[in-house]
Amino acid sequence: MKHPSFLQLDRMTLGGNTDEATAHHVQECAQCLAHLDRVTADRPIPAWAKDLGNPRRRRWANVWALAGATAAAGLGLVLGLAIDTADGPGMVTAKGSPAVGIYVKRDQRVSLWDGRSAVRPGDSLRLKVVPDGFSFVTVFTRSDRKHRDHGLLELHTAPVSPEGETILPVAWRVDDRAGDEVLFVVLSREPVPELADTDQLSEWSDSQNGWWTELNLQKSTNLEE
Amino acid sequence: MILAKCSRMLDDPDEAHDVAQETFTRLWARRRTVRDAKAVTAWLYRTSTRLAIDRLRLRARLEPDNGAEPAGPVDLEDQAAARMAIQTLCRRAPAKEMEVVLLSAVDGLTHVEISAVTGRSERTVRRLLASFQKRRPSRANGRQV
Repeated sequence: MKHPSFLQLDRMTLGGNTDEATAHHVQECAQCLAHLDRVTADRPIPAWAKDLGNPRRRRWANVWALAGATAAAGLGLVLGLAIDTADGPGMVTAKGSPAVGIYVKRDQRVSLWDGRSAVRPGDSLRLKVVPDGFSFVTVFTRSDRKHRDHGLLELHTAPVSPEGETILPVAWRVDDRAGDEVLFVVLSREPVPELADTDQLSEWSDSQNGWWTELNLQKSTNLEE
Repeated sequence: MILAKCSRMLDDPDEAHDVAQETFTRLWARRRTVRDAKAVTAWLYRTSTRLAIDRLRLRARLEPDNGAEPAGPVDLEDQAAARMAIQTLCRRAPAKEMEVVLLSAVDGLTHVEISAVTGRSERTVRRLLASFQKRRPSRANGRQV
């Protein structure tokens, strides 16, 4: 009998049901048993995994993981960016009661994005959300800035307090590649599933009574602007 | 389990760890919606595969294109050959092709299982696999394009 797929083997380790023939094969097959032993072996819990359960310390512990993904989208992830969130003129709101604002840090100055000004390579962006009752926030960007229909790349997803305002714990650095920066911010009552494109995002949001907005940040390389 | 999956797709252990961590972190964010073993593993396979593809594409973007391409049709029965082909062809192969090839050649999933994990029909899965196997560099006037 051909080996079962790794998917079947992994499901077995999580208690999933399997057919009799597969179960018999696994019991007799050294290769399959070796895989099961490998994935069920006790391992020390890494520090980043422990931090997941501690909201105070929850952060993207491995910057390179997201740096890899977000670099593909043209934004560099910046960890631990301390922004002095002085009171600004107010949030840049989109439709509906929830709201999203973007803090832009350039050199050492922080300002609330006015919805029009261009950002520059090197600027750091940090989002503030007013969930107005929603309990999850997800941030996407386009996976390929050259093609608008090329899918979404998830940058951040996490539970969020439904009340008040929350500044997200991650920031992104604007790179110098051509093309505006586009962020999609989704507020929902359930975690957002894998979504292929904005059409799916819109359909899902409508079906789940979620809320989302698209933020287009024009990019300028003119240092005088 | 997640790390084993990622290690099969990515030959760089650091990248495999990164993708595994990102996958687990996303699973943690969705822990309240986790249902049964079948749904969880399908989600893990789909998510980790797509994150690995993002990483492969990023690597390809950062590394110079040395022109090395598979000499002939890609043998998807050979896991190592399939992984090498994916890494060299990821500049031009669509992500959906790469996804089904990784699940088929590297993880050994059947067409039915790939269909269940990706949400694509079995017919589409077969078509994507066939398309990837035929993928070759185009040549015009002796120069690779």
